[in-house]
Amino acid sequence: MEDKAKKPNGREVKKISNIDVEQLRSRSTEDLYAMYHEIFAPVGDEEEDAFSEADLEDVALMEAISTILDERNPGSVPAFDDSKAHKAFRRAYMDSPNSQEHRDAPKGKVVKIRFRWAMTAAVLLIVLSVGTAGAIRMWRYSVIQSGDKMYTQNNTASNAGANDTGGAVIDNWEDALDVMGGSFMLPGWLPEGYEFTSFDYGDNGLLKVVNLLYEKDDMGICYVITKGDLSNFVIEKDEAEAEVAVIDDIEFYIYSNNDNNNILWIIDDVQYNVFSRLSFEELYEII
Amino acid sequence: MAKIDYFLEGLFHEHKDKLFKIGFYELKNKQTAEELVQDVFCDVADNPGQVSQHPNPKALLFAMLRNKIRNEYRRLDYQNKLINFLRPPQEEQIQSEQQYKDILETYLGSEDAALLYEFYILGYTLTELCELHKIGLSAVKMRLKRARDTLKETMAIIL
Repeated sequence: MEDKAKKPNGREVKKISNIDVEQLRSRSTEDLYAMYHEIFAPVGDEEEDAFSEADLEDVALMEAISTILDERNPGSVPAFDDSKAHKAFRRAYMDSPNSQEHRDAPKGKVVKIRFRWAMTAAVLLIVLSVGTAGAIRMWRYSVIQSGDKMYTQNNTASNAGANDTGGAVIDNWEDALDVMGGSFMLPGWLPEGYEFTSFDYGDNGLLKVVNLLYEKDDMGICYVITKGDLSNFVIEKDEAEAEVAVIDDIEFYIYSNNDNNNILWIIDDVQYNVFSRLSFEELYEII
Repeated sequence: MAKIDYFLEGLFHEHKDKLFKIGFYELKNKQTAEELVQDVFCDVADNPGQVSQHPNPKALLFAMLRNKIRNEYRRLDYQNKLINFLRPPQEEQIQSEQQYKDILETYLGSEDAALLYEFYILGYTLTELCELHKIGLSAVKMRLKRARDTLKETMAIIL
């Protein structure tokens, strides 16, 4: 199973093709720690930032060994207090000129428009500014919030054209779903007081993502629709805590990530994820 | 609530715990593991296109953490060399860490000396240095490298 390979930096490593987890399990904990430690041994003085295909072997080995160590010593790793890291992450994103370009990317990378309106004022504003079509769109939005279980967005010829242009400005979530093409499930119910506040649309060439955010005070509900090649997607979950519910042949992954409760499911080539600090019972109602 | 690109936000929530676990198994130190995971995501935030356009974002994150851990070992190794280099003659004792900075300033400009002192002696993270000096991550890395290179020339002359 093992043979020798050389990385671009000249380092010789043990290459383990299609890592055999059972074979790793047969090794002693000391052996595993030694193998694990070897992955992190620095070579040379120069700092490393690059990523190469050879790194995939290290990544797979790191995951496999850490999983086995978890099995042997459950509870030995303390909980990650992510509040500081998350704050720094957000601040770095907002401060970085690169992320500014990322946020403002004109050609379908990320287009973010925020909506905050009182419903009556918004309808009036839309009627005045964009005419009847906008008002109808607003009405459809309010209908969805008030109880429709499924909202179907068909990919019409004109919508497909907009998708082809790539550079079109997407200024509402309905157009974003049009560009994605197909039919999508949308929230069928929202807890009292929650309002749709903003959406993101992203397209990295492989995946198209629409994120809908609903907020009430400082609480939020995120509803994410991802369409495209999901073959590289791995649902990361702590097996000890995650549950899988099968309804109508659809697997719903139900799990918590620190403060957030998550429900994730895939239908065909569309992945849905809803997460919030709300209870699972409330999340069930939403989907 | 400050908003962040949802794809990146999703990456953070999906992988942070696993990254921390991987770091902790190697380092056996909660604080350092947390700081390195934080540094990974600050790098991601600094250059979001790199990860959002990568065909395997998860593998990229894991490789970034591995590199951070390797760099941490390099930092500790350099710290030992630096302390040995800066140690005054036998009869004198280092009374406070500030003395290291004073000695560094005899070899380097005050900015470079401060950066080396904070990173290698005091153990500030790269992210903390960004905040402290109000400069970007790449600028911190560049200045640290420049300071090391300058000192390396000096050390080679002296040793």
